[in-house]
Amino acid sequence: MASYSTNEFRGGLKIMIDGDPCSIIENEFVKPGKGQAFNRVKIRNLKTGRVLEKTYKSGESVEAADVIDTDMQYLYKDTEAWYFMHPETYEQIGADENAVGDNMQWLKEQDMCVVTLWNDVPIAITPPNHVVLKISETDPGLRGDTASGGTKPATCESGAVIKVPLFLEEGELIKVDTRTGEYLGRAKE
Amino acid sequence: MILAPVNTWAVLKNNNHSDWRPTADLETLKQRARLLQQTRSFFYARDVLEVETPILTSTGSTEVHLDQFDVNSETDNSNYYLITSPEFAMKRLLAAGSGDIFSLGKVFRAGEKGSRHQPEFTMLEWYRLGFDLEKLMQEVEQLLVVLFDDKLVQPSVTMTYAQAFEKIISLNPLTATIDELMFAVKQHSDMDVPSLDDRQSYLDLIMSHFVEPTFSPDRLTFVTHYPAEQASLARLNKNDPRVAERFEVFAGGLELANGFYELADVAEQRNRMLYDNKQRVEMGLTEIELDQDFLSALEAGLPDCSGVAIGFDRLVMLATGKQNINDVISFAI
Repeated sequence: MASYSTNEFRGGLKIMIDGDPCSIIENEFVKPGKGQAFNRVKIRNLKTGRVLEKTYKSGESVEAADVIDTDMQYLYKDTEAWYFMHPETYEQIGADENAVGDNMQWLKEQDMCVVTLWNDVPIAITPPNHVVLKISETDPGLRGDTASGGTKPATCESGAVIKVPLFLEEGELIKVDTRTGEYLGRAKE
Repeated sequence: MILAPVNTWAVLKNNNHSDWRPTADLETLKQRARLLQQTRSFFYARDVLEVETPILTSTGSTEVHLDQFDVNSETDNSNYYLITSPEFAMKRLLAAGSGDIFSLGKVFRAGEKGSRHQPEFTMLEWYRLGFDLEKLMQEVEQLLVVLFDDKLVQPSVTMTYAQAFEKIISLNPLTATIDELMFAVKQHSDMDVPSLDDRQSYLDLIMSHFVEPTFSPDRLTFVTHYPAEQASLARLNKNDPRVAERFEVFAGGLELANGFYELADVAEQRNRMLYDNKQRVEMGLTEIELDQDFLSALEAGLPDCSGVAIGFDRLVMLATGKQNINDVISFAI
């Protein structure tokens, strides 16, 4: 089984902790001049998304997590899973609700996403930072009201609810930042 | 199913330009040069002799927590080490009658790499004849005031190891059992910490993770009276042999200096080295041949003195406000 020594620790390294694959966010080497050395790490549990802190005795070995990030195209969903396709091999793979989580609201057919695979099984999906979505439902637009700065909720085709300016209408395309959920502007087809 | 991972390395490999530039900017290197010069002036003005000692040696250090680089060659069959500290050579000079001395040179510690560590770094070390720790701590403070100008708030804080410890973890580090320490760590923090085999490692864990980060960020903190088990090359306290005549200096949580009222008793020194080696064997590390020249020098007589070592790169970090050691050295490894 592959493993890493603490002196190979760096940001982005994938390791197993208590049976879950985790990604190192930060690694700090801590050593009193004459004393025991430690590696103090901040890690993200890739299954739950939770961030935790952990300290290792320097020199310890930690099991590697077989985790790969792959660019894949979102195709469609059915009652069980969301399906993604590798753009070169055309292999298709289904990600369940645990893996897709809140990001389901950003998934638009044909968008390229990063699929995180652990032992070849999807455990997380990262949508593009910016997506273009069609407004499927919102209160009627106040035409010409581009100055008041007010906002209203708009439901998008993918399910996300975004705060948008009052002048936008159903059927319009908007650009949204998936990391913050913020409206960035109108978009063209 | 096999999927090709996104290969970012391929992109990087196509780029033939390695990053050859210095890790520190030029302004920082100029400040570093100024600090080196100020440090030398400080000691020259006090009649402390600058010495250069070898960084390549044929005998190593027995310290269990210092990993030294072995140096090998295809043609020279000798076994050499890179020094982890100039201490042994400097004490041989002292025993030979050098008087007060200081050294500014490179030392090497394998496996130490992080925002505050590089395997090769610059050590400032000096020895003062007839100084007790009180007097040496004053001198350390005087030097740091010169180097940091107005960056330090006076006065400095001084506390014993036990006081520093008890303030954060309500346990006496000299008497607490390993189980008490382990329990206290779990109580103090929900951080996931490793199980450790010995009391000393727990003390190191608590000091480095919980105590040191609480030190005042704009003042120097002097910690004195280290537990006897961490005496290293310091004498034990005459009145309380549970503690050693050792101090450390911190700026915020950054460890800067480590000073000893130097152990001169050769029998005691040999015993400590043998004990180190015994521990090394238990830990699966190689035994290190004792430095007989160093022990002979002690036998011939080390003058009564105190000495201190300071990580010079960390001084530069503080003086320039840099958070990473790589930013204050020309080329990080």
